[in-house]
Amino acid sequence: MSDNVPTKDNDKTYAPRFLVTQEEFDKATQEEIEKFNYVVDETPMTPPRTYSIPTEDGDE
Amino acid sequence: MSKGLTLDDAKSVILSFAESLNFRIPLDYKVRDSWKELYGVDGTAGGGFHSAESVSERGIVTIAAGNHRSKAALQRTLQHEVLGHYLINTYSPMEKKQIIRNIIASENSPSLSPHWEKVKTIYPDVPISIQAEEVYASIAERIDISPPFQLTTDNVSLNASKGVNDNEIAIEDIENSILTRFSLLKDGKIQQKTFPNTDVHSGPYVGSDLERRVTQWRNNHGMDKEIAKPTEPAPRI
Repeated sequence: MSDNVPTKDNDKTYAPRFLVTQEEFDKATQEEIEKFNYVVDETPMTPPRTYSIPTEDGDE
Repeated sequence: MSKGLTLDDAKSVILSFAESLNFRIPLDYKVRDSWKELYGVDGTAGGGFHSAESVSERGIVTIAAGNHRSKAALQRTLQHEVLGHYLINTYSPMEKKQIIRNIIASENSPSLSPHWEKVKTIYPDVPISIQAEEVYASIAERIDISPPFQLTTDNVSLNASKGVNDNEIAIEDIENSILTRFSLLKDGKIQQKTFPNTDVHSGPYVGSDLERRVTQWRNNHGMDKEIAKPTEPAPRI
């Protein structure tokens, strides 16, 4: 496959960012803000056309 | 507050999941207690995937923590969204298109038909290419990513594979594809290549499928005769 070749971005990592409400951000400790990389984002989102449906062990 | 996972539980599962991928995926996570808090409408769904628009941006995975009764259920949701919807978009648009075609060609195969039945029940009205991607994500949900696993050839996007139909693939092909690309992703060797503007769902493939179904509907409703063109107004004399 064409993309088995390493790219120049090989070492690039992305700390997950958690998009939180202003209220959640204000309540968080500095430690939490840093650990979870909090970013305030209250932008309304349009529901996706498809989504995952939680299943428990034994479901299916 | 629901009786499902707390926000703290959910964030901890997400961090572990991102770590299992060596933090190689450019995604943000929006975690709320309910679907309504995420999207303003009620729902029992667990999560959604919103692709980045370009390689320089991040996609978003949404999680309704309270709709999950266990951490294992949330792990499956993350695998559905990330190892399903993100990972399939690490193929080029042409490769992804071929995978989607192969999954569609395998709709009646013994190993994929249960996944197809589930998807068609939940999403009877979405285009077939989107249904096929849901089949891929549905398989990703329950794949065991705990090492060690044996990497094999990723032939899910190839034209010819096993089976009766030239394009038919088996569930093992998709599982191998996911595990192979999971490994490549962890090593930083692949990244997202297909974005919404180049996706098979937005291209002529979906259009032609829509056209086929419109034609079928018209035939079923006795509308197979050519529709008369509107007449032009009579010229003034």
